Amino acid sequence: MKRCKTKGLCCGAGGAQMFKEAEKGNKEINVERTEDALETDAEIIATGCPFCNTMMTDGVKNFNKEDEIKVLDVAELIANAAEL
Amino acid sequence: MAEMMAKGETADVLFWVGCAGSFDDRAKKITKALVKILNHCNVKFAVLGTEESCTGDPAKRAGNEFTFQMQAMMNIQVLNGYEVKKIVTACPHCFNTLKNEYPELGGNYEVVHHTQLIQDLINTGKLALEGSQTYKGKKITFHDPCYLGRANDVY
Repeated sequence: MKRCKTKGLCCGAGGAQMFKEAEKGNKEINVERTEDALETDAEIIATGCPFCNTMMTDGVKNFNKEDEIKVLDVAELIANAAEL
Repeated sequence: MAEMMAKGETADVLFWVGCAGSFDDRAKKITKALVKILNHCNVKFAVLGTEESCTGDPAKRAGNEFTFQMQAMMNIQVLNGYEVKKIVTACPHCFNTLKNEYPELGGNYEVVHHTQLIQDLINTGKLALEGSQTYKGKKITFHDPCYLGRANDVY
């Protein structure tokens, strides 16, 4: 993703957008962040946080792409890769 | 942790599960994946179970310092009671609070995020992933969690 590391965009959960009504604006923050992820043409979006996971999963669902793109935690990726 | 203590054993690391990992159906799968990795690598770990409470992070972030300190003091008492030295958590929010906000209240622990522990297991050769075909040729993008990256410089 272009916006990564110190320039990484918030998934929205840290700003409590998971629990409260959205801030003023024309777009949900998790939708904006999911657009960043979709731009990369990745099949898997990896995160290291359960809240980011929820926000990104909702974002992917918003684009009706939940069959093509999986949102997985790093621990799940590693466990699957090691076939545990 | 209580069971281990009763048997006179000590855990090398405490797995702080957190609210999402305990109650959210999606996040429970992440908890299970991490436990599989820990078991596979013979990491001697323990959980607090029902003795684990909220770190107080949501209260603090919402400006309720009083509730945060009550939660933190309660947890620190439990953690210090079990003489916990090292904590691993799968949640960057718990990670940040335990690492940066507990020391001034008397809770001093080595706190690592699960991605750091997994990296360590791979580096020390306890977890081998070479030759794994599961994700070969797949494009994966990583979303940086705020409290892991920007708040704690873990990239």
